Amino acid sequence: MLEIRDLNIEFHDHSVPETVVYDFDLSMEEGDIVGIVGESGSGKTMSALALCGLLARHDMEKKGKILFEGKELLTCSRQEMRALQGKEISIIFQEPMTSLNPVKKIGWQVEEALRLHTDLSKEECYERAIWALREAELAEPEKVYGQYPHELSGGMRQRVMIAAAIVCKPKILVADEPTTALDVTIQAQIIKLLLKLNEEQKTAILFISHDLSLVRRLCRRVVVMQNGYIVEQGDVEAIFRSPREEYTKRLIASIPSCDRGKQEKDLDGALEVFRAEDIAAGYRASDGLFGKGVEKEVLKGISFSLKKGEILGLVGESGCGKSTLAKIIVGLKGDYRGRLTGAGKVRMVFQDPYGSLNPAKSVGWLLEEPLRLQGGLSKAERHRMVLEMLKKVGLEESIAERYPRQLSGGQRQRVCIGLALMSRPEVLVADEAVSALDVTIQAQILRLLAQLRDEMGLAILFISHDLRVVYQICDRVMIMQDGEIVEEGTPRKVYFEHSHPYTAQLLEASGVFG
Amino acid sequence: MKYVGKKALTMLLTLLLVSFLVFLCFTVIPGDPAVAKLGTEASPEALETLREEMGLNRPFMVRYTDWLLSFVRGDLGESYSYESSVGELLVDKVPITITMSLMSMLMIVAVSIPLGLYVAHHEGGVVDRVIYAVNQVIMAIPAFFAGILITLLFGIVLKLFVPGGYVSYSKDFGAFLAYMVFPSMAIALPKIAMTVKLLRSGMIEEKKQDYVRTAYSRGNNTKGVLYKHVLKNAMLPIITFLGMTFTDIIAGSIVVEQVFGIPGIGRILLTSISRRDYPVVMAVIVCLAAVVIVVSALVDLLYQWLDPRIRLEDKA
Repeated sequence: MLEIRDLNIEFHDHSVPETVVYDFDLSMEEGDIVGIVGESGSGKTMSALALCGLLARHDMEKKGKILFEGKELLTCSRQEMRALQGKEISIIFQEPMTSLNPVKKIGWQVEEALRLHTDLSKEECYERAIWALREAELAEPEKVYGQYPHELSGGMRQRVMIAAAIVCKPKILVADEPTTALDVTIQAQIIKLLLKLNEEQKTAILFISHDLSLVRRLCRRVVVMQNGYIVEQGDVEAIFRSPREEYTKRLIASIPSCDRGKQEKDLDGALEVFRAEDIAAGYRASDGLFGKGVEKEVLKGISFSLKKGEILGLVGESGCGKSTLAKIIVGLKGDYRGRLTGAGKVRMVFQDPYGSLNPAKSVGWLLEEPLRLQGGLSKAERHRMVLEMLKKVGLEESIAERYPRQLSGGQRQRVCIGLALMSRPEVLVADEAVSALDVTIQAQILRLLAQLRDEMGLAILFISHDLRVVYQICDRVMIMQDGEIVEEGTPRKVYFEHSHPYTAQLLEASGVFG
Repeated sequence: MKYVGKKALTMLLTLLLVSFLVFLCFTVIPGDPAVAKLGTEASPEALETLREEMGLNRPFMVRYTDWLLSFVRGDLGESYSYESSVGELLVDKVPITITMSLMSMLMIVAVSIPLGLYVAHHEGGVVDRVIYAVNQVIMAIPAFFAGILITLLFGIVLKLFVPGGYVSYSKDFGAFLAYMVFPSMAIALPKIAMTVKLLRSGMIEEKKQDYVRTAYSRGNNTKGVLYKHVLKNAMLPIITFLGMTFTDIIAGSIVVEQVFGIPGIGRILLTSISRRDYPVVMAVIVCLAAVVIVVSALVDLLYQWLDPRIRLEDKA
């Protein structure tokens, strides 16, 4: 049905043409599920966008062949391509929050492909849209039909995206990291939904992901990509069991494993550096100028302590209150009840290394800032400390002269960590600090955190939704649900001898144990 | 409904505050309507008698309350300098200024939105670049100077209208409208340039959004994406801008009326201020404030209708 041969994609926006995809080959039959795995910049998304006809920029050249049911997609007219888009070939994207038009109703957006590709009447369109929404397992399709994107959760929006993509019953559904922005339980539901669509509608799925374990759960075949090249492709299980190429081996190795024999650190004698007692907080939801506010409880009495050199994991899904807790601990939210001890020596590292550094300042200037604010140091001393810190977080001294946009994601996150450490904190709060990074970079940053903990005796509150990472790096884990800690203990105890049903549900959804 | 009630109450309070502040201002700043009326040569006794007669010697709050109560009853008082009541004086002039402002607004919307869409669609093309250059120049021209240029070009060179040949709307409505086209154009021109620029950059910014890619993936062509998806999103900041612009237009019209010799409220306002004709000034300013407040309320409503994310009504 689909045959891609020798696909090369070149960008011409610089003086030297830059090739982002080399000799990409792929064939798919009806009902296939194929995964493309690779890190950012590997060309996986580019290949998929080319298939969907979404790489139509004038500064880019595509060579090779994409044959869909005998039709050559690279040379056909825009009009012929449009006739296939949304009808035979559909795509869903990574960001369900922004991929829907914010000012149009859900129904209108789901029906769009029908309006463009069929002559169905208004009533028939409505019927089909409701069918698609129901097929995407939205609980109240008639209600959702009349709603706007902002009224839905991330998971629901991704279901809406799926409904809009399948409304014309396409032959191929391209899913570009469709679950990356979602919580583990929602992620598991979306994967199940894709499998169901594949089975019932015989829709072929091309699943693009950086998450190998996810690809293993969904796909039968996998293509591994690196720097624009296909490194390896074949049966998923075979590749997992015996990867041939070095890169595939490294990718598989960088998936943190939840191994029962994990070494547990003895922290009994360690000094307590931070304590939170009975922290409770809420947000006031106001309804206008004269309206009375309604207090919405976000945290319901959280207590925990951190010892010197301890990494404490905090796991929970979005909306459970973990970010609010982090804000309180670092002093970004003042209206809470309860008591904090040792809060003066807490610093924070944020999730988004792209957005959290001022783009107009050099790295050196940024790192120096806490010292300048603190005062009492000469310019030379400050500069020396900046260089020391760069070394400590594994960066070259020359980075000090550069600007954030000139750095890679991993380098930026190192700068963020260095920035947090400049004022010599005892506690570091890492809020999803590795979630936005590629697996191999993620592994490096995790090693850096562990190393800093050992060298500086740093205590780290590690907030994450990734249960594997937490298992690997943390000495103790807290599971949070609806503003409460429902389970707490060493990773081994929490993962293998849990007592709370929510813990079981999270572990099940994340597929940590197969 | 509750929302509308709240909104109306806020608007009334704003108006009350405006009237109070203006009244206060004229009490504080130097100048005496009695002197303005009788001239500086008048004897102190005559001035004192006139002041007593005009009620200027009463305490501030008494005078304000008095003014407010009669204003609410619809009685705008007697002009100090013109031999007529303020009501009669304004009834003639307000339609002129309003016509001019509405005509400018219409021109702005009718010209800049299609033009902005066109240049956003053909980004980087010849038309886009020419319009960009022209825009830069026009934006820098203040309305009164645009008025002079238009008088020169359309009035003296092309002879499309007779400069200073204003025709009253009660005499010949068609001729009145034809004459008003040119002052309205003077007010609208710089605003058109700004709106085109704003819409163009807004559309281009919106084109980078994720939902645009989604729209293409369903088989839309560029036109479909721009008109069905991008336009509504890009209009949001434009609505806010146009709302603010309306205030500017009214302020601009006061000056442009002078350039084109139009007897609108602009001229009356200027003379009344210099003659310390408080009843007229108060009435004009409160009317203008009311127009501005109503327009901004309309903009709010329009904005909410366009953007579902900020609809305040029927929310739990």
